[in-house]
Amino acid sequence: MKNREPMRILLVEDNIDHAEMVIRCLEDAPVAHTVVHVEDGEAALDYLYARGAFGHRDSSDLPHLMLMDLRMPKVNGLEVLAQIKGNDQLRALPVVILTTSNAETDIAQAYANHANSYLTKPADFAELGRMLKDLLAFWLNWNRTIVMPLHPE
Amino acid sequence: MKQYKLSELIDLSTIQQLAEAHYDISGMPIGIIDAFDGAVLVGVGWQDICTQFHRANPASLKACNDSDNYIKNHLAEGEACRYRCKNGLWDIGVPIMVAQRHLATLFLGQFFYEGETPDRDYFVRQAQQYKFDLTKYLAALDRVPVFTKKKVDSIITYNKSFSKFIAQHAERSLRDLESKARYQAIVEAFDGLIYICSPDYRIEFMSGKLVERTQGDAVGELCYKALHDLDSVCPWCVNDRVFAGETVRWEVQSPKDGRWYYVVNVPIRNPDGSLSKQAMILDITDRKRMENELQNKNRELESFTYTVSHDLKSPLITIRGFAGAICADLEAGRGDRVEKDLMRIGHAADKMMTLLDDLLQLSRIGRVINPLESVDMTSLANEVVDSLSAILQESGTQVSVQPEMPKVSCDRQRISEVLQNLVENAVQYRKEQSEQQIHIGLREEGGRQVFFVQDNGVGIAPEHHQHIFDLFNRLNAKVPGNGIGLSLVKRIIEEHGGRVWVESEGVGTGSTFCFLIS
Repeated sequence: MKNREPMRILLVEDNIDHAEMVIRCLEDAPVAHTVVHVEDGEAALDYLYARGAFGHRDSSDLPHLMLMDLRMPKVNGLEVLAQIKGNDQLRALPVVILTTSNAETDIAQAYANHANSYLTKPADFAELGRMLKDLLAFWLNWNRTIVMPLHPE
Repeated sequence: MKQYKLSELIDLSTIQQLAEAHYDISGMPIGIIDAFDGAVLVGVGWQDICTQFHRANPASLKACNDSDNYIKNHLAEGEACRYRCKNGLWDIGVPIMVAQRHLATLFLGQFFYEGETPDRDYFVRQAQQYKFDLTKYLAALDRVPVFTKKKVDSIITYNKSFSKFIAQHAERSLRDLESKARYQAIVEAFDGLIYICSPDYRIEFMSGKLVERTQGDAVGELCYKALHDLDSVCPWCVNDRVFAGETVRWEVQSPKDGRWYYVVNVPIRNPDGSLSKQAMILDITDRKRMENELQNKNRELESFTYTVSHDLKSPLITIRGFAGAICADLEAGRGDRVEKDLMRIGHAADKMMTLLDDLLQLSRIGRVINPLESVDMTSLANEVVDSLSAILQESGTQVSVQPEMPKVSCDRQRISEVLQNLVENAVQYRKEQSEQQIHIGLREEGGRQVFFVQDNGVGIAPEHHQHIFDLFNRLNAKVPGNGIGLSLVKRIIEEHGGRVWVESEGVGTGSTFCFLIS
């Protein structure tokens, strides 16, 4: 693999402890990365569209991967997913659902909204670590995608 | 079952004609007498010697009564009972039995057998004894028919069959009346509605309850118009199938009254071979409503279970995750963040505990209802404010309570929980760096008393006004809480037959939580 700039991961997770766990698990991942953590769906959309609290951000500077919970205050994960996948420019952004729910309806709805993958958080820390490292290796190392820069709204 | 008389079961005028023709041919007098009241149902060729002499005189009548009683007591189905009266005249009785009941007797006679020539002297003596007109009496005697034994036997054979024929007709008509009565009893006892209509949609019969429901007997009218107020055949009409011989069971919501009906349509055959449709209809509106309620409750329960499992799982993942992280850190000789991780574990366990406590509390609503009492809302609000003084002070929140609010009949403890939750909620959603003010008060609205808890906090965007009362719904992940408080409030108020809602012009404008208790 050639050297690249660090991969950006947008982590959308309302549970601060869970976010910390994810970030911690990725600490020694072999893929150079940075994690941006936002706590709800509204903030995630603000980040992507570079508006609100993220108004100063360069909107063409999109993350390479999104890890998102489903059940969140304000705008929930499914709505964020629907917006991303309904947007021509954002559609190729890989969105991985990372949640505690293994309810069939959640899984079905996530895929109906074109989630790229659906993962349930394992309770075991080591297992979570392995899963996230595999995830990074696949999505950031092997997977190829094209994310077109967003035109300012 | 009513005891029918023979005269109610068959047309006796035809029987009378048959008896007359039989008399013309055979010369044998016939009478059919009701077995209960002795009424003469059919009579032809009766002998003057009996009717005008023997039976007309109270003294000579005794012998006639003996004759009648003898025959009455010796009747047997299918048998002819013969009796020769004291005067030497023969009388024959054949019972008419309908459904094992003796309804009438067919009498043949009176007559003399050939060879049993009457003793004229005996009749002359009788005329003197009973003061009969001798000439007329003897003339009547001479008119009494005389038959050979063989001829009488033939007449008896014929009339035994005739009696049986009458009995069979009467029995069929009795069965018809019985089945009609049973149908009537069923129709009247049935809680639903019944009508019968022809293939061209004309109502032929309506049960009493249907007449009551539609406020008018619509026999002869078009079913779709009378029953559903439609101008053409109902779009759901199943006549095609019914008239093809099928029994069709289905449910329909009537456009006329909006109620739901379970309908059973059966084809019924008319005597002329044509078919009609019988519809039996049960009003199932209540059942439908309960089914819907049950479905909603099930959905609610499903989403409740889903949410609870998710919200209980989250802290568990935190606990196990950070326990693992601590192990990994200790193995790697890193102790710098262990203490913080242990605190996370502690908080997660606390959170689970609170969640479980709150769930328990929520489950009690609706089960534990304290007796309603008259509660002074001002003093109740003040009590709640006092009990929350610690968090109010800590957060620098000012609370004012409207004095002299009226008394309300309610479950004191539950309404106190409502106020407590609303005040706590207002404290949690205060604006940063500004003093939170809460006002508990009352306003009149359309003649109803609306209580409210008003704050100048962060406010709520209109799109969230509805679902903030949903279980586990939180608007801000950073604000402590588990999303149970407001749904608890909602359930308590609804248990009181009231309503709760929030008024807020949006983010930054403060919120007013209002409730009324019916």
